[in-house]
Amino acid sequence: MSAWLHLFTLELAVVAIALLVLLWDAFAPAAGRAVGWTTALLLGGVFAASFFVDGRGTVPHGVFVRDEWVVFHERLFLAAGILGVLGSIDWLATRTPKRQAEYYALLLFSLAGMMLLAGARDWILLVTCFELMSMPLYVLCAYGKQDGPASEPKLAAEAGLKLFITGAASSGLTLFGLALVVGMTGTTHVGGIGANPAPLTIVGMLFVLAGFGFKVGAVPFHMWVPDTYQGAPTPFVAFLSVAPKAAGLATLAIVLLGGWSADSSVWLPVLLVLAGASMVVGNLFALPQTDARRLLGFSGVAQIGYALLALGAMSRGGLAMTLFFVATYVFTNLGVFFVLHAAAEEGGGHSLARIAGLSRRSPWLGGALLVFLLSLAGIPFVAGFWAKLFVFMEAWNAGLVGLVVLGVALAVIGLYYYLTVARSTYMADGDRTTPVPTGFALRAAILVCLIFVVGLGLWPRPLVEAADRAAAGIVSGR
Amino acid sequence: MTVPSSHLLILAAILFSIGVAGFFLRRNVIVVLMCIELMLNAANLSFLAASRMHSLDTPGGRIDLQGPIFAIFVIVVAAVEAAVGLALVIALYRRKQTVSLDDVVDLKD
Amino acid sequence: MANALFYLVAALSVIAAAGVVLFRNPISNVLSLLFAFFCLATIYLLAGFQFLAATQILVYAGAIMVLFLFVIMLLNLAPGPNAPELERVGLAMFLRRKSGVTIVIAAALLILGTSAVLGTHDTAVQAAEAMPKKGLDAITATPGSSEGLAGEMFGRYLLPFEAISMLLLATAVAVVVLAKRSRPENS
Repeated sequence: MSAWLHLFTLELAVVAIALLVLLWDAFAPAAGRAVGWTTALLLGGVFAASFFVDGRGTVPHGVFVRDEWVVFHERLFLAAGILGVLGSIDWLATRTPKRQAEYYALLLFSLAGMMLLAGARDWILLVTCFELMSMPLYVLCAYGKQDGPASEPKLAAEAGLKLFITGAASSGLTLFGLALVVGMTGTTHVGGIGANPAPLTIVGMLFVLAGFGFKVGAVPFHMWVPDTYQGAPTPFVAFLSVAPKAAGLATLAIVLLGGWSADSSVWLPVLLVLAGASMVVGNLFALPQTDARRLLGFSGVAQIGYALLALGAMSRGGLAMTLFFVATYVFTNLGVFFVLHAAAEEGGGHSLARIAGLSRRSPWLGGALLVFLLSLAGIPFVAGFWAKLFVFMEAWNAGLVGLVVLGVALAVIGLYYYLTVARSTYMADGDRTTPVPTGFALRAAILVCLIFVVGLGLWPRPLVEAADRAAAGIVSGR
Repeated sequence: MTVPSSHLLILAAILFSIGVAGFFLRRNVIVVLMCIELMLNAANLSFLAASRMHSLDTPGGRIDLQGPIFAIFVIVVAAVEAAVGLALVIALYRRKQTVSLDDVVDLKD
Repeated sequence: MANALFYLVAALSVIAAAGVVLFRNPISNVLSLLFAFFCLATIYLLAGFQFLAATQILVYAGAIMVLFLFVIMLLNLAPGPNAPELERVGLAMFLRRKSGVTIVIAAALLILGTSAVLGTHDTAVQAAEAMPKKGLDAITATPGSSEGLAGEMFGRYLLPFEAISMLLLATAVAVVVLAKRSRPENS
């Protein structure tokens, strides 16, 4: 065992921080922001350590493989985790000052599940990590359910329940499908499907795909996304909208491109239909929304469609661009939700009318929101532009011309509703004129997101190269 | 028992379908949770049926252990989901005095 | 004999599962599900999986079902005088459709699954059944059972085992968070 324990240094460190936070709260409960800042700084330490801890290798029986793919995902999840914690510090300290530690601990457990997930090459480990990732999310969704601004209906419990019911049902679907797959192939290794699978194996894999479709929120399994985004606490939604989706896409890549590449003619049509439907439904349903978080929910569905499109290119380049797309989406979406959270924190909910005149009240916040929205829409020269461009290029090279044309057309529609939001922050007059109060931690989180979005827009090459190295862990060759 | 393993698989499929039907038909959250448990049990039964199939197949009578192992993990997952699901039900009940999904409609377009 | 018992128990488990969906009183649903779990445990035993049969009864019947019963009792969920019919779908929180659609979905799933089983029957299943049948005794006599399970569990599957222990810890924390009444914030 000790021969491969060093492969899990970072994951163990994350779990250790979770335990530390829990014990700290049990023996010396601290109000204020100390717990949150400690968690964020320790996670930052783990992130820094990821550049020095250089374990590569395979656990016996090939249950877990730590390669560039895993390293890339570990850093991505850690970054999302740090920002998620930073964005929650002020909210937790004011809303539920006596119940902070559990929030961070659950978030860290979820993070550990995601980090392990990226390297799992065995169905049992994959399913276990998926549960470890999802289960804390159900609960965090309902966090602070007793509190909340009086003006806003208390929706967190409902949001948590909806996420849970769909999540649990999709777990049932996945597990039943896996029973058929494992039963037919006789191995729990993800790569065990091989060419010419038995009919029952294909039925099982379709069940598994449907289960994963629920988790990433692809159409037609997307109905929980807008409801959950609208009801759950906003700082948590920021995390929920990016990290689990990145993990779900990573799982799809491991399963489809890594495990079942021998017979792509079976699953590729399914994947492309999911991609196309997600782009269409996400973009069109986002148009009439009046609640900013619901709008972003549907926009998230649409963005998953673009990511699946790049996955459907079935090449190393396509997979690399999926990773690049997801990485930029992580920083962009975190940023958007943090700004919305800041704007809504003084009460009044998240309706679009609420952020009217934001740029006049707080030019800094309004400018950040504009940059994030431009990135989501894919305008040069912010990160999202390169992400969309690369995704479309890879899909075009793979011969998915029809879907690329559809995607570009829908991106124009996307541009419309993103800019509608941005316009209201500049043009419209709000009912208040004082600057929006924001805590230091939230400002720091927004600033980091902003730096990444702008930085990657100006200089995307390092991330592209890292994504390409990571993709080589799943798809060899070009 | 010399029942063909395919009959066990068909029984699992029937139980799974009943679970899915109940998941869509029922409005009481607790019953919906029970239907999910039923789906997970159907998964377990198919794991074991398939494992039995492979064990009978192998000369020397060596048991295929991956099915049973997976089934044990599924049982743990089912226990976790039951615990979290029921805790969420309690949280919801405190808020709204209801366990019916029809009353959980505050979030919509 | 064992075969007849299997078909009897299988039929009972289907009836009990139908009861989970159809009964109106939540207590009846729980007891029906409990009965289905016992039927499944019997089937596991007949198929030669003693350890799983024991786990099924201990964990499902002993722990999970008690949890369900406990919550139903705690919330005092008796069926009201005008308990609603099963007219609309349970997933009504997202979709409002006629229940006919969902029955069609479930039936399609069943047909799909069964036809796939029958389709596979020609290949893998038939090959398996062409082998000489071994009864319960042959299977238990092998070093399979719980020793074999333990060997795999703490060998090849040690990592998932550790991961699921983290899952259980996280669940314990999570359930406390959810079920605990919020302390009055005297700030």
